[in-house]
Amino acid sequence: MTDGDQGAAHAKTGRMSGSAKVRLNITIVLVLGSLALVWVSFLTPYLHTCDDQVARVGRLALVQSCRPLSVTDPPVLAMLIAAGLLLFSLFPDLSALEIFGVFRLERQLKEQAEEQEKRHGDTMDAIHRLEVSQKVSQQLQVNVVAEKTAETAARVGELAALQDEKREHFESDAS
Amino acid sequence: MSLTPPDLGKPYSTEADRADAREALLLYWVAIESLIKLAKQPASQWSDQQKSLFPSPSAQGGPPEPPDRRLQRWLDIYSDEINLVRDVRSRLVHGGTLVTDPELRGAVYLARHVVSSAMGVLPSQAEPVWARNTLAQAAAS
Repeated sequence: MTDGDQGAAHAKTGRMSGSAKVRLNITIVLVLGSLALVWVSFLTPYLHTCDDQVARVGRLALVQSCRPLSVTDPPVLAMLIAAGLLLFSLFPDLSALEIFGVFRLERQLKEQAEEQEKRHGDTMDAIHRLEVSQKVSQQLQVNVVAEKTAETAARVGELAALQDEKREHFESDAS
Repeated sequence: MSLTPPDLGKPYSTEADRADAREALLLYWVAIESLIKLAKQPASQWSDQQKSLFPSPSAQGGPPEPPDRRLQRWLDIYSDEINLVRDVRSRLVHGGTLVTDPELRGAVYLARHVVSSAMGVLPSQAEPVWARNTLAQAAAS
């Protein structure tokens, strides 16, 4: 069993292994860290991101334009993506994680897809077997009915041919 | 004396013909059931009307055969026919398996003969409605 599996198993049972706990802590730190980065960047002159822009006034061709960090900036985004990946490893049932308009992480549920495919195949096999068995059973029933009706018709013919004789026998026994 | 056995393999030409045959078989069966019921009844409980339904032929100089004894013999001799008519009729009514035209045609033919023998009339005289009315009323009396 891998760490991921163990983590998943423990997550399911409500208990966590040491490794899972570490990953959870790192995730929390990463999320809080990214929030702290954005917060500090907004409230202080530190941690700003700067770009070169064409100057419209003055002698310099380019000037630096700085602004606070946002969640779409690479450092914050990297931290959030790392946190997302760790969350994936902690919760295997998660198929996607998204911060709208910022990023979206999707898990390829290959195992689930394979299992579903296998189940579908099994179901189709069972249906096929059922259909075949129903057809065989119906055919047998048809054969039995055909035999029975042919038998009855033959018996009717035999008895019909005996009626005169039987009548005579019946009447003669009376006397 | 008897009706010529029908060509049992011949299918009914129309649905109406088959429906008539079906109706005839059901009526004959009511008559046969009445006869069976009567046969199981002790002779002492037979009414005069019931006794008068059956002929009492006798050997020359011998005593006439009591109707209850005649009916018992009838039941023994025609048990195969009765069972077959019962089977076909049950399948017709309860719709279990399909009743083929030869089966139906044959069952009607046999039922007519069975009823006419019990009552001592010619098969051609044992019309379904007559047989049903005569025997059902007698059995109920």
